[in-house]
Formats: sequence, structure tokens, C-alpha cells
Amino acid sequence: MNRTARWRRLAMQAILYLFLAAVVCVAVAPIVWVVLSSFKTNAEILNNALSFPTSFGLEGYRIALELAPLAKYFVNSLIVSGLSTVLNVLVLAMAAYAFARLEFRGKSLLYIILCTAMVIPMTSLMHPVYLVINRLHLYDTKTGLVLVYAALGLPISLMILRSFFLTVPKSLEEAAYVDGAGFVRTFAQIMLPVAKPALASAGVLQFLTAWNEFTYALVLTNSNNARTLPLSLGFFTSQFSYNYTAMFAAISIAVLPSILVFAIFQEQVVNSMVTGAVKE
Amino acid sequence: MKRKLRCLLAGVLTGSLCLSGCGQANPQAEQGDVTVIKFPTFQVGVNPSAPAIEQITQRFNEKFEGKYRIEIEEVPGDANYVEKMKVLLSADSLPAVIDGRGYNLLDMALSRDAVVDLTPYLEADPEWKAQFDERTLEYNSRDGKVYSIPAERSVIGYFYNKELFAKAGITKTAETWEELFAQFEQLKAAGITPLSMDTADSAWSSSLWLGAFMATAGPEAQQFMDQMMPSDYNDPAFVEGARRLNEMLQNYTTDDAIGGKFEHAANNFLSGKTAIIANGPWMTGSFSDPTKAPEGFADKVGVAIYPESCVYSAPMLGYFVAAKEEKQIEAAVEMVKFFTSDEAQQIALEVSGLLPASQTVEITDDIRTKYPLTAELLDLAKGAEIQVNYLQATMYPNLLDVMSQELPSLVAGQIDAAEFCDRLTQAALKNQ
Repeated sequence: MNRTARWRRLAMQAILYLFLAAVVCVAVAPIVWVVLSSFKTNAEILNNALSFPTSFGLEGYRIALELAPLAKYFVNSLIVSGLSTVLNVLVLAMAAYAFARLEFRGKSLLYIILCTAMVIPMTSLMHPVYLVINRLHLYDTKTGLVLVYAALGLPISLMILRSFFLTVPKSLEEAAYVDGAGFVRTFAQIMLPVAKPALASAGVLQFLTAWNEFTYALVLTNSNNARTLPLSLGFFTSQFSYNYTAMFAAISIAVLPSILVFAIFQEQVVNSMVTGAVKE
Repeated sequence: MKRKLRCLLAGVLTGSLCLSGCGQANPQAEQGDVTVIKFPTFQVGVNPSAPAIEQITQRFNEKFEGKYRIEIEEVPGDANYVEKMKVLLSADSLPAVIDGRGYNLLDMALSRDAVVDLTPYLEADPEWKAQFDERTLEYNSRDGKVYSIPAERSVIGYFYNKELFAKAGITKTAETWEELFAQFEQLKAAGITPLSMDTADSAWSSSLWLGAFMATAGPEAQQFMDQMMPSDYNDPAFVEGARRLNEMLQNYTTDDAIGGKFEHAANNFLSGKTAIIANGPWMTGSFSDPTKAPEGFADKVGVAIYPESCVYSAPMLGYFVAAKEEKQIEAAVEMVKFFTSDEAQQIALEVSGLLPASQTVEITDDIRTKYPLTAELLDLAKGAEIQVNYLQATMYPNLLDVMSQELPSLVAGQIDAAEFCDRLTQAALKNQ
């Protein structure tokens, strides 16, 4: 390899690393900024949003835990997000498999209707959803939120899972049928394990949707028994009062699980995205 | 594999059982002989009124033990509270008692015929009625019927930094607008930014100056300030007020005022960067809050009313009852009666420094010692020749956003004061 080619390769590598470093900065900077802000005083935050804290005390976290029932909301968020994810993925895996493999009248129309639910603005659903949840006596319950969140994630999960099932060779199922497995068993014991990356992908997206959702949590609950973490941020600002230090501390606590969930399952998410892109 | 399937099914079943266990009965319930009043409130967290509401509720529950019980539902965030009430209103599920102060929820609820007329209850209790002056009751009435009762009234002037005033050689607060603008120049000459102002989130602090200009422009302009939901802002006095506000924003405030929120304006004042901020007495707690202001800052702050002997001193909208069943109405009225009683207003004054709506609540020496600025403002307000309501209390709600959107255009010179007022008018007319 001559000298010019080596320099060119080194230059390309340097550009690549610089690009990657920039991408990492863009992704990590907001989180670092939030965590650093949780150690700054209100005056420091408002005077210069980009300055470094002058000390690293945990006062903001103490005040955050005092002002808002963060621990309770955190547990509620875990329960609601976790259960809505399980429910969403379980039900929609079955639906997606049916859409991918079965032929029935109105299949395409039904699929389009379910997917177009994605473009309906959330606020326009607020009133009917409130009425339905209230009539089911599920107002101010975690159950109500679980059902609503599981439904909110329906279009995305359905699309991800259906496109994945379409990529799985039919010969796999045929082999199972030859071995004597029925439809349900083939789905549960052959297809579901194969669809793990898509399930993880749909699950992560559903978990993040439920974890970050605010409007329905506000309208469909009224006690601390069912409230979730995003609502807690309202405790730190009012029209004429604020405590940004505590608010950033609360945000730091709130974002931690979603980062962890994505970090743990990121490989499966990426795999499913890639696999779903190609059909048999 | 069968085992795994069973485990899966068992898991789903357990989950469903757990979920069904999370169910809840009717929220507006009666438990035994005790009528439970669910009371949603935004006065939680950092809201200055939160400790007072907590204490008043506790006192009510003690007094009416075995008969009524208030259960507070925390709705953190003022805007979130309004949003939630709107959804509950559209679903015909309003709570028994609603706090209508500051957000004009009363008229919205009245348009759906969801509010209980409190006039007969007031007439039946002369002592309760006597607490409030005619102006207060009138402000809370529609078509001659009293629908809400307040526990608080608004008195708003401006705060100034005595140390910075002294540094600029200012010895007394301005009595005329000319004097005030001369003081701005004096402060600037001493290297001090005169004013804390804002334009975002309804431009609260800036709008107080705009209203003060309007209120001091003559008797007709004063009438405009007390008119509910005016739709014509093209009044020459208002245009002149907008012009002078623009002058303030361009020459006498900080760079972050344009696009800045009230928090930025407050922080500039609290950190000694600016000498003056227009706001109400609820801000006095921040002066001695170590997380916001340096130690000893409270001692440096003085309070004044606006030039031309003008102050915002007006009744506020209060609590209204939206219960439907007779027993719930009875409990809700009792709650409103207690929350607006002298006893409760005294607690609110002592605990959070909230100014009482009742004319019979005493401003004791203890309160004067604890809240010297509030007491001083009250004394100044008593002697003020012009007492009006503040601009944002009487505006159509959609105009608050228009203020925030158009003020930066005014300062940037994209529109002039007349165009600014015309845009407010056009937005107001959309409500008709």
C-alpha cells in the first residue's frame, strides 16, 4: 500500500470517527444536560443553561422526592408500562400472525383501518376514551391506563409484527404441521420464538410510548394510586413559582428506565428492523 | 413446551387478576354516613398556596368529621388543571367543587348549565354574605345570581431593589410616568438594567405595565380595564400604552425578556440583575427562598404602586359548585362556605400570605411582621386613587397567546403599536 493510499484511509477513518462522535454527542448531550442541571441551583439554570454546576450536592433530588410522590409514580409507571407492553405484544402478535398467514374477506381493509388509527390525533380521542373508561368503571385505575396504552400502540406493533411474520419462510410452519402440530401450537412454539426480535422491537416502542405518555394519564386518573411519572413534573412549576433543580432531578429519575430498556433490547430492535425490511 | 405454554397462560391470568384488583368504585362516593368531596386542585408542589390549602382542608375534615370529608386530588400544573376541567366539563363529569380563580372556568361551566346558584345559600346566611363587599359579589355573579365565592383578592403593584435604587441615587418611588421613565434613565446611567420583563407564557409581567398605562389614561380607560371580555383594543389610550410598553421592552429591560418566560424575569430580579419587577404579593416568598435568591435579598426589596396613584386591586373569581345530587350539593356548599370563611382566609394569609377577599379578616401585627411587603402594599392600595382589575383577568383566554406571539413582533419593528392592538382586537372578535 503506498503512502497516499494509507493517508487517505487514515483521513477517511478520522472523518468516520468524527461523524460517530458527533452522533454520540447529539444523542447523549440532552441526557447529560438534564443530569448536570439537576445539580445546579435555579439561578445557575436560568442564568446560563449551558454552564456546569458549581457543586454536586443531592439537594435537588431530596426536594424532588419531598415535593412529589415520585416513588409511588415510578412504581405505577413500571406496572402500567410493563403490563400494557405485555398485553399489546401478546394480542398483536396473534393478530399480526393472522394478518400475515390467513386469508379472509376484508383482510386488507381491516388492516388499513387498524393502521390508519395511527394518524388520528390523540386529543380528538380524549373525550370518547374518557367516557368509555368511565362507563367501564375503570376511571382512576391502572387497568384503565393499561388498556388505553395497549390500544394506543396497536398500529405500530401490528405493522412491525406483521411485516416480520411475512419474512418467515412458510416451510417452517409446514414442517411443524407435518410433525403433527396444530395452528395454535405452531404459532406459540414455532413462530413466537422465531419472532423474538420483532417482539422485542414492538415491546420497546410500546414501553416507551406508555412510559412517556402524559395526556391520558392526566385525564384518566385522579389519585396517586394510578398516576404515572410524567405527571410528577407538574409539581415543580406553576404560573408564578418554579423549582427547576428539583424538576431536572425528577426528569433524571424518570428517563433512567427508558434508557435502560432500550440499552438492553437495542440489538433485538435493530435486528427486527433489518429483518423486517426483506420479504421472502 | 406444554409447560411453557401453561406458564404463559398462568402469567396472563395472574396479570388479569391483578388488573381487575386495581378497579375502583364511583369516585363521588358516600362512605357510610360520611359524604366524600373529591376536590381537584392545582395548588400542590411548588405552588405558593399549597401549604394553605392543605391546612384548610385538614381543618375542614376535623370540623366536619363523621359528616363530610374532603379528599384532595392533586392536579400538578395550572394549565393541566384547566385542561382536565375542560375534558370533565365536556363529559359532564365535573367535580363537586371547582376552584375558578384566575382561569375563568366559571363562564365555561355556566355555558353548559353545570353550576349551582349560590344566591339562596348566601341569603340564608347573612354573616357569610356580610364578609364580601358588593363589588366582589357582583364580579362573581352572572345575570344577578351569585355563582362563585372567592377566598382571595388580587392586589398587584411592583417590587424594586432598594440597594440598586440607592446606587442610582433614587430616593423615592415614582409618582408619575415621567418620573418613572426618568428613574429608568438614572438606573441605566448607573449601569443597572431597570426592568424585569417577559413575553412568553402570556407575558405576565409586561402585561401588568400595559394595563397600568391604560388604567391611568382617564376615566373611560379605567372603565375598559374593569370590563369583562372586551373585544376592541383599538382604543387610542391602549395603542399609546402598547407604544410605551414597546419603549420599555426596547430600552429598559434585559435581552432575554424577548421570548423569555416569567421565570427568567423573576430570576433577573432575584439575582440583582434588574431593579424592578411588576408582580403580586405571592412573590414575596421567593425573596427569602435560598434556592432562588441570595441570603438577605428579602431585606433589599421594597414595594410600590404604579405611577398616577394606580394599583391593581380587584375581586377574583372563587369557588363554585358543580355537584348534581342533593347530598353532594349540600356538602359542596358547606365546603365553599368553610373555604371562604374568615377562619380559612386567615389561615391562607398567615400560611401563604394570600390576600383575603373578606373585608372582615384582620391584618394582625403578626402578619405585618411576617409579610411586611404584603402589609405595605395593602396600605398603599388603600390610598390609591385608581383601583382596577388587571388586564389578563378580563381578557378572552385566547388573547393570552396572542400577547406572547405579537409582543416580539412589536419589539422587532415588524408591526407598530396600532397593528399590535388591532391583532388583539381581531383575536377577541373570534370569540363572538
